[in-house]
Amino acid sequence: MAERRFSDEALLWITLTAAVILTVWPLPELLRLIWPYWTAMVMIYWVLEGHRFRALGQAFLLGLLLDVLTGTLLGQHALSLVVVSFLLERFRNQLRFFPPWQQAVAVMALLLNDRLIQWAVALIAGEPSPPALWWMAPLVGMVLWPWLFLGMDALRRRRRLSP
Amino acid sequence: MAIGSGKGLAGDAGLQTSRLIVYLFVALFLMALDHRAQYLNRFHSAVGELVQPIYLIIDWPLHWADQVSRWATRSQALIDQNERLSDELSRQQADLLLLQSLQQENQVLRELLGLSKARRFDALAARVRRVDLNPFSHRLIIDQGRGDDVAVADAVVDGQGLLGQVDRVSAGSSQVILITDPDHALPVRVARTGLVTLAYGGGLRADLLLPDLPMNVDLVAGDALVTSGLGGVFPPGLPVATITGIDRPQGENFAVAQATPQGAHDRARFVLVLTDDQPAPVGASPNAEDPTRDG
Repeated sequence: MAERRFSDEALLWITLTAAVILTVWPLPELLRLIWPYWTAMVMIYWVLEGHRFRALGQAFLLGLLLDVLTGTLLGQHALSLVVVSFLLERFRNQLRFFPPWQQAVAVMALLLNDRLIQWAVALIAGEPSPPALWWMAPLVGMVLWPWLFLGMDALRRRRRLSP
Repeated sequence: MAIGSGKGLAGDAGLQTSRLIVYLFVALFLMALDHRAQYLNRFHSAVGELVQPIYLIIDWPLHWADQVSRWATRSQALIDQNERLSDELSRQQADLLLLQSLQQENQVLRELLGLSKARRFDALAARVRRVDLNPFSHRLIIDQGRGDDVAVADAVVDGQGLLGQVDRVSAGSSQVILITDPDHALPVRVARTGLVTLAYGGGLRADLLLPDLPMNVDLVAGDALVTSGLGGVFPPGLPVATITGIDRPQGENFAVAQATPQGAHDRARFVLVLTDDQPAPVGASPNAEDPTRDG
């Protein structure tokens, strides 16, 4: 039991680091716009499945890290991740028992909500509004969600089986 | 275990909501502080050091992959390139000789007129790190930092023209804000007419915007923009952009022109940082010099 807990913890940090790295991975311009919000998706997985990373403060700190990393206004990602984390916690008990495709739709709603927040912040800060393609990212996130979910589950199961 | 961790149960919902509200306020406060003024620079540079390893994790493998592919380049291609480059070098050295005599002449004339000496700049070569920041901002990370005498507000150029200026400096790298960033305003001069105005970054839609031109302005597509040197951040006369079009919307007070930068913003691999050779001229307050965050 203690063994499994430890490996889950390690996996949590490994996957979050990977998600943060994917956030600033160099990409062509078009792909950049529809690049899904990896950090939020990995965080959603751990809130749903792992009994981990459920405090709002953790989401806030992770968001601040992203803000510094990507050079956005300090607090922009923090705000969006805290809201995602809060909504997720509210509907966690329903979402956990959804079939994958239904979960994917819920994840898309969360990611779309995040885009709305980021758009509002950009608008208030006086930045030009993004092109239409930028709104496609939640859809890409939805398509990728079942695979992310299954992949992470497989990783965890393998860890659990190995001594 | 699942029952024990009952944060999401009804009894805690109120607590969770109040927590959310506190975090929302903190986030909004931080954003307002960060947007309105530069109070958080200290924090940015401190936490900036923490995220450096993440840039390195991404940059190093890509950099080494590049190196390996360069080793594998055919020698014939290298010889060709070498010939082309030494040809270019000899031509530019001839230009440089002319420039040196002009510079001396300029200095003598300035002394005769009793003007202050022109600022001298040292050029420092830097490699652009291969990371992508968010699509809203136009920023680069370069591999020269505080240890290499890079300072905030140093101009960054490539072979073709001005790219931007240094915005944040860490120990081993710095963040460059490009002139196309919507937060950036650049004092420019139209080379043909001498008109002085401001060029703002256009964000995702346009490269550069010149939004406060008079309606009867003498400006056509193809006009070259150079830095005016007003404000004291950029040396005057650096090529900036070419005008691509001008709109005179009916019922508005100002004409708006669009321009495309000369520098290769998204493709630049190596850049030059123009570091100040001497202390900045007296009388220019640092606040008035900083053209960023003009919105």
